[in-house]
Amino acid sequence: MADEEHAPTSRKRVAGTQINKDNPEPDDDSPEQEMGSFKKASEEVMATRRIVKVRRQQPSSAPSSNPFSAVRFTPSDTSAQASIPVSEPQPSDVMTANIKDSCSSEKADEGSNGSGKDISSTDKSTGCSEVAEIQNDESAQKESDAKTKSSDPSEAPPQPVEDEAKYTGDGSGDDNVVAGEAKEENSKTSVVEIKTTEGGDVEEKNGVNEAGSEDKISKGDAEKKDVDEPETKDGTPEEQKDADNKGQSSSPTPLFSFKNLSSGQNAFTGLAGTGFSGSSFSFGSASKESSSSSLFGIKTDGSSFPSFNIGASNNGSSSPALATTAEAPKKFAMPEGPVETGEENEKAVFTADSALYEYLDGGWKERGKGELKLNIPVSGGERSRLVMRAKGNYRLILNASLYEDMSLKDMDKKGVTFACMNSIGDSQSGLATVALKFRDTSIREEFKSAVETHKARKVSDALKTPENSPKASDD
Amino acid sequence: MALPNQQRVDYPSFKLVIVGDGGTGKTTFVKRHLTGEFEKKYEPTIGVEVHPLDFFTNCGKIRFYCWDTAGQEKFGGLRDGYYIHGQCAIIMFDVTSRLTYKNVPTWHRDLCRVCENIPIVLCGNKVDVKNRQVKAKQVTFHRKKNLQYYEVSAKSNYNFEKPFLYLARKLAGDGNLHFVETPALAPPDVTIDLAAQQQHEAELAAAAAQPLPDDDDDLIE
Repeated sequence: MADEEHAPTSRKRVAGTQINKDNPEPDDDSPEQEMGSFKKASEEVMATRRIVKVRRQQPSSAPSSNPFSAVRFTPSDTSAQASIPVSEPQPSDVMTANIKDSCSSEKADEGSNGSGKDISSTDKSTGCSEVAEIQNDESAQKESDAKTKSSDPSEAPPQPVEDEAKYTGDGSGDDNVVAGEAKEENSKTSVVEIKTTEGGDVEEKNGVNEAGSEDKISKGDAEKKDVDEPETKDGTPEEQKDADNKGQSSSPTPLFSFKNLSSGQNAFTGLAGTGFSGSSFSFGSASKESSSSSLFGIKTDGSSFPSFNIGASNNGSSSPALATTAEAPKKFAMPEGPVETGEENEKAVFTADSALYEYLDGGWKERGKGELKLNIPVSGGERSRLVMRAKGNYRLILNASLYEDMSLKDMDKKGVTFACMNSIGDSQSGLATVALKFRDTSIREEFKSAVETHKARKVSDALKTPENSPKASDD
Repeated sequence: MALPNQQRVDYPSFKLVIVGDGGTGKTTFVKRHLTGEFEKKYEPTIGVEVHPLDFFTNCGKIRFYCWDTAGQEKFGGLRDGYYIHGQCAIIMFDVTSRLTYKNVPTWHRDLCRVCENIPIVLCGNKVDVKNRQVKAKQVTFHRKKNLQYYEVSAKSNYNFEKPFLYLARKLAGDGNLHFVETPALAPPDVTIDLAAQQQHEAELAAAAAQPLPDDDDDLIE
């Protein structure tokens, strides 16, 4: 949490620096350095963190924060499992196989690594506390050392919780205790086996251990250092993450503490009782933590408690990178309908490819290229008009009636200009000066003759005979 | 989707985001569709300009609100803030500039961060230029990202409607959708007499004296 808080502050500073950047360059550098420094610092820590993260992430593959939550939840589960180890173990067994693999690799790597892997494995299978147990074993070893001190539970509630969880694990599996004795490698192997037998208890324990790892570190046994350091490292980042996601940090400890107290009282003997109590607590914790542990939900398949699953489902801590998700384009119903051109009652007496220009502000603006048509009404009685659409998008660019006083003037480059009322689009346009450019002058002359023939069309439909004759004459 | 001052339409309308490096021809491309004009002057877009662009299809009218965004970083404005709720997009580069093609992945990434899973068309503009730097065979980005690619020319209008046609088909879910002629309603029966023309005479004379733009005549083909 603290780190996160720092980060925003740094960002704010950066923003300020950015403002400075506009003015001086050095300022820019300084803020960047600050940013880099933050990152670097994190990286330094990252070396250790990375190890931990890798372990956890590999097993869990889900958000890193979850492992803790899982651990926490598991305790109750573990207790329940401890009480009823055989019933649930099947899923745990499968998980355990995976866990074992992870554990073996972990063992090969290091105790600390193993613990991380264990956690992850536990995360994978909520029901499988075994991995956690392994971690617990390690922690238990440390804890056991602390436990040997025996003052731990009474001393610090959180520590005792961890210890207790470990104890419960120990109680459930004698092997765990032995493993603790055997210590790291042996204990790990043994722990793995134990874990398979025990179930989810280990997970909870692991989580507790992680949480308590700091305390353990404080205890500072050599073994603890090996395991604890990675754990602590892991635990701290995870805790931060967890806290961020879940804000649970506070909640789990109290629950565990309760468990610890109960477990501590019961010690080895009252494992079942602790388990029940733990389970009840776990529910509470689950509810509290439910938001935090998404992994559990996934992993919970094996877990006996549906409540956990629900919690997991609720978790949804993972937030997409960008909130602004584009709405999936809605496929709207666009039924195919009849296409109307508006020229159904007309026939084209002249067509040609042309380019249309409009005279605006002392210059010619292109309006498009396409097929120009001179349409005359089939039934007669209406004006002839010029219609032109742009090629490609079929946009209407010219829609103007001919009129009797219409005069066409030749231009350079095979062009002709005239005035018209161009009615395209929604807006009624006023008088416009337009120009048409044709491929060659012969087509232009043909166009002019057609216009001359039909511009007075409205007067009498019967005078069609002149159409042909003038055209011929013009040509 | 639409700007406050734009009236809503009763036919399907979509927000189209147009991105790409500065000077690749986004604004010219949009303007070409809007007015038919080919703008040769380069005036960098500041922030964004939104233009409604209607097309008539065999399935009815469709409107694209074209968000013509600034390509130049210094005029970027809200940048990807303009992408929000984009429903389709065009990424444009300039085939005469390799750099603009190199930046296509960046534009695509930024776009997809905000707009997930929208139909996107990649457009290589200015293919009318004879000495192009990015050959058609060198354009491969769209294959990786499953985009549609068109070589276009805002100047010659080569393929200039294809991006919109593709997007309309995707948005409508109809691969057979095609553009149809804009209905040409009967124009108002306005009589322009000689008096009106005489008032217009000065402009007509000036217009007649003004040479038409010296476009390539073969474009009329």
